[in-house]
Amino acid sequence: MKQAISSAGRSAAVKKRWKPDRDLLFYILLLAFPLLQFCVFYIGVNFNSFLLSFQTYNSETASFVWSFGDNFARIWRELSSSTMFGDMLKNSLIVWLFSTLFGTVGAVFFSYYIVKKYPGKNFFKLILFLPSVLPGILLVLMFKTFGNEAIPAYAELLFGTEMDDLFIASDTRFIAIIIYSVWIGFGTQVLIYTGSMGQISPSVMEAAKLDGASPIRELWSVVIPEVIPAINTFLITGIAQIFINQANLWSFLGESASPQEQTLGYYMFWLVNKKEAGFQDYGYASAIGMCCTLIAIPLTFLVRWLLGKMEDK
Amino acid sequence: MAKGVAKSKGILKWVLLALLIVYVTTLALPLVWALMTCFKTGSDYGYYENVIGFPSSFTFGNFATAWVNGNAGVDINGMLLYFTIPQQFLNSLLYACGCMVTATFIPCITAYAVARYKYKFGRVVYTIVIVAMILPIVGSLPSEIQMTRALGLFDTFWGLWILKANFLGIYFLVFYAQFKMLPYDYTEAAKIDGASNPRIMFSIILPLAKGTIFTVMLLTFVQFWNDYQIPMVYLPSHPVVAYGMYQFTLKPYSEVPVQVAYMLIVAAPILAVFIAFHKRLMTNLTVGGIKG
Repeated sequence: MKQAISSAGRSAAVKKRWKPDRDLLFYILLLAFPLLQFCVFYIGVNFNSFLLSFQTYNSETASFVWSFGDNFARIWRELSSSTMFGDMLKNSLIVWLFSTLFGTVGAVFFSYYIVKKYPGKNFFKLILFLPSVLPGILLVLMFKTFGNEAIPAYAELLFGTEMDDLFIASDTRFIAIIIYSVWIGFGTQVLIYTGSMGQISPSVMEAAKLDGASPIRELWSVVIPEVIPAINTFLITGIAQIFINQANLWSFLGESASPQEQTLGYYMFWLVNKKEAGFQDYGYASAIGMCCTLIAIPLTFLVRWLLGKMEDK
Repeated sequence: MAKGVAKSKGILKWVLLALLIVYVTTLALPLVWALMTCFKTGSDYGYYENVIGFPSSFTFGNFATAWVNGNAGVDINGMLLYFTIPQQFLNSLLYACGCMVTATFIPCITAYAVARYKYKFGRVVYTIVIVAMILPIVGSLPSEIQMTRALGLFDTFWGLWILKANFLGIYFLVFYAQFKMLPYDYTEAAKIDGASNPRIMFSIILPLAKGTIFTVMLLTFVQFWNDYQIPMVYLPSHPVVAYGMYQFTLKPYSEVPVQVAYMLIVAAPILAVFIAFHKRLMTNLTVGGIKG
């Protein structure tokens, strides 16, 4: 009898155990597609990129073949025989420095102006954000036409000097493109910094004011510490930009940027998308990407560690 | 002391105001110039060299010419086919709307699952998002193109929608913060009343987050509508408006007033979106710093 009861109890327990957990089923259902997509288009793509860097394209058989080290040897040859990669790295760093330094400093100051509710703050916020909403290529077309057509005409009218087309003349176009990139790039940062600054307790600002802190002191000692996490996020995720930023070169110049003005991001994009691209340079571009990744990963973690130390202090 | 503080406050305020006025001027000047130029006749602009003055006579003909000549040519199997501006708009709508839906709802439902269910796997997903944001992987474009070709997703709208249906990135964190913030009492009460999991999600929680969902949808729509490089790479046979504009930038000088009129035609829809929704677009989506 006891046995029968215990066996019935066991089967009831088993039945209870096997009752489907509806929460778990729904949870799996929700995550199934996103995780599958992640496995294919993040893990799969990056793993394939790693494999591709050891392959070259055979146009006769129209297939990729293993060629251990060929792409890396080509990179080494370029590095040792020409200044191409050096120039590209220099340009990439210049673009990164300009946009980080001027972009961040400008965005912090402009955000401060908006948060302090100085005159015209809503209008300026709108205008600062506008370039982020308009198509980048439209702004490029507008500034390019304006720079090439109107600015030389204004220069002649106002100063009586003849001026080359800003975005065409080889001695001005790279710096003009960098300035343009910084100039239209404040929007997102201003939005995020104003959000962070808006969280500062009014009593803290009031206390600083009562203590006789000047606006510069208030900005430096009260406001900036509040936006430091957001600035650090931009700086950490921005390291990758050194290697992928095309600096609007493709939008301004298409395929025709000269080697002296190319960035690493532009060059990798150009290898895959130039008119006669085919699949020839897929392996080579992947190998360059892998080398850049190997530099970018430790650099990112180093910057993250340093910024973390500074934030703690 | 107080006098000194007031003085330095005044200086900082006026310096910043001056900088902002310079900034606005540099942005407004090309726009004002474009508005003047699009109404000039070709001879007024070219022959009489009226580059920066007011139009001698107003014409709307440039808009008609731009509408007719703003075709984008693409090479399909060795044949050059031209797409008119309305066709490019249609392609842009299909691309941007589809990607907007997938790029909003996939992070949204993933964040919902991670934030509202207390399974340990959620921590793994959260960590994946943070690591992927920090980890800079460079140069995977060739591999991605190869994968989309192998999976039959290349040069199709639905292929690109799937490609963009990933949960990685800032919007996951935005949705995660939103769903974490909502009280669990609603879910518990609904469960006691016998509501199923999908009903709780679609009828109770998602409506509470509709403001955030709408903002993210708008932001992603603008981002995809403005993008020309991804469609150029993955949708070579379906040129979008932004790609048409890119082709226009590379054309040897056609009449500048026509170019400018073309710019304004193409900018009109996105400017309308901005005017209608600028407050929502400029909502602060703060999620804090990156902590591993």
